[in-house]
Amino acid sequence: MMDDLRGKACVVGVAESDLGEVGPHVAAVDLMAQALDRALVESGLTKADVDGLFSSSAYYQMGSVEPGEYLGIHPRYTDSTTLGGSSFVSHLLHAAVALNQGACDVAAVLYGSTQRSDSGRLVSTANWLPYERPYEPRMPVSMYAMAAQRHMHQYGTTQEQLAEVAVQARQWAQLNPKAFMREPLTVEEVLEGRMISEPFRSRDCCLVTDGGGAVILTRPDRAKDLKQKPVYLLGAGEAHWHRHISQMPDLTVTAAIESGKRAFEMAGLQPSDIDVFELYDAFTISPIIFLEDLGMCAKGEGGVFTSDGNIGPGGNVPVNTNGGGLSYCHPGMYGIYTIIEAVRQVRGECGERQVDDVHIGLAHGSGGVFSTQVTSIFGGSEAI
Amino acid sequence: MADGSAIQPPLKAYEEALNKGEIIYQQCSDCEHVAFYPRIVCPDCGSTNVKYKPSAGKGEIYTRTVIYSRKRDPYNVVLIDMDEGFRIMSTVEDAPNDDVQIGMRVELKTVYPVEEANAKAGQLPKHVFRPEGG
Repeated sequence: MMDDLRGKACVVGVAESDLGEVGPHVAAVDLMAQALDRALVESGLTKADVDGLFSSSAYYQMGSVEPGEYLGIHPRYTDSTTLGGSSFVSHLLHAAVALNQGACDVAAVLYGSTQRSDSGRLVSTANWLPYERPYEPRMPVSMYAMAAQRHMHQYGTTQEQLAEVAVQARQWAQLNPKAFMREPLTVEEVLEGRMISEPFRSRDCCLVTDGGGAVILTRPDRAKDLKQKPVYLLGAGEAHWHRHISQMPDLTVTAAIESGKRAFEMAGLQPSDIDVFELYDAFTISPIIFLEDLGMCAKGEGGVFTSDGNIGPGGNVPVNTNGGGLSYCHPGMYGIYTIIEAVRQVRGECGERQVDDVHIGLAHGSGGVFSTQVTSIFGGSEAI
Repeated sequence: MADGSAIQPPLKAYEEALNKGEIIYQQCSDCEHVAFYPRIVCPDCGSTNVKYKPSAGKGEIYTRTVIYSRKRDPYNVVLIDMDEGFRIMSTVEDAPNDDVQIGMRVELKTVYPVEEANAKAGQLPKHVFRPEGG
């Protein structure tokens, strides 16, 4: 039973690598190594303790094997599951299973990307569907744009509401020294941005940055004598229904309704129990749809729900407290940063952007074109 | 399939029909499920007893976007819900992009053959739509 996994794995170390623009000649795996080193230092573990390795990136076909070689880690459990940007949230669930089967004792989840320094364009592993390719949609922005357009048509969601998502992400980013974009941003400025793919203008779209990340997990017994207060994985769920946008049954509904349900069931919690939401925001429509699909508001109400400062600093439902993919960093597969921020918020170490009294944090990853959805829920020891 | 014959590539069947000016889709003979793109199994019930059918080429825009590029004029990409119950990606000609909106009725206009270089890269010919009765 999956509910047996509740609280049976915990995060004991998280770290970003250098973010933003790391410059030429830095390899994606360099950033993975830097992030892992930082996460190990804060956890009190060493590289020699890591016997489970989980990684995916757009750079290495054999996701966990490349950093394994570079780092000199010889895992006895290895997982290169590639679901696009949600991969790392999926790795959490897989690591929890492996840890509790005794297949490994310390799991490291790694990510790295140098897409900004490489070319300033998204480095993508996207495989084209031959039935879509001739029409030259821009991958992936046009796919999300078509979902936003449908949401606007069906539910009356407005361009201003999309812009408000970007503005609130920026307000969080202004409180995060590591965020890439920190200058003030207004709804008017978003609405005046360069049109990319209707209805999205430039500020409706995520950043293109470099960056790496690492998350270290172990079982609670092993976590007891480590440096960090363990943050427990209370629930996790994954789901996917389609790979290509023309195969998505309803462009306003994602498989997050299933991944979320699975995560909440395992955790024994309700959406209203969540204190912070870290949601993959590749585009402004994403948090709107995820808040609906995760049960925070009814389908179609996401645009109204995210307006009027409700998800920004001081709002009722804090979303993407690091500034998100829209303003903090987005190296192409952002999912690992949802985990890092949720864990830090539960620990209560986020400084100026720390939300008061965070007991439960949710991290949600999305990959492909709303294709893969993975939800995870974290809590401190009081949740156990 | 059922008789043990060699696999009939769905992509090839689609391309051959398109080159004759026709869009084909599939219907499962066992469960009636309508599917596009064509496959060798029904994505609903798993049966290999799937039949190709020609589409009348008419449908309604389910969603749309207009893409702005430095290399060419703005162009639209649409998803069309065809009257037979399947959805395809395409583009709409003979109408300003601003008029190409959700709910618009459209019909198959023509098929553009694929350039040789792109054909080698596996690219398919391209169907284009226009406003119905246009």
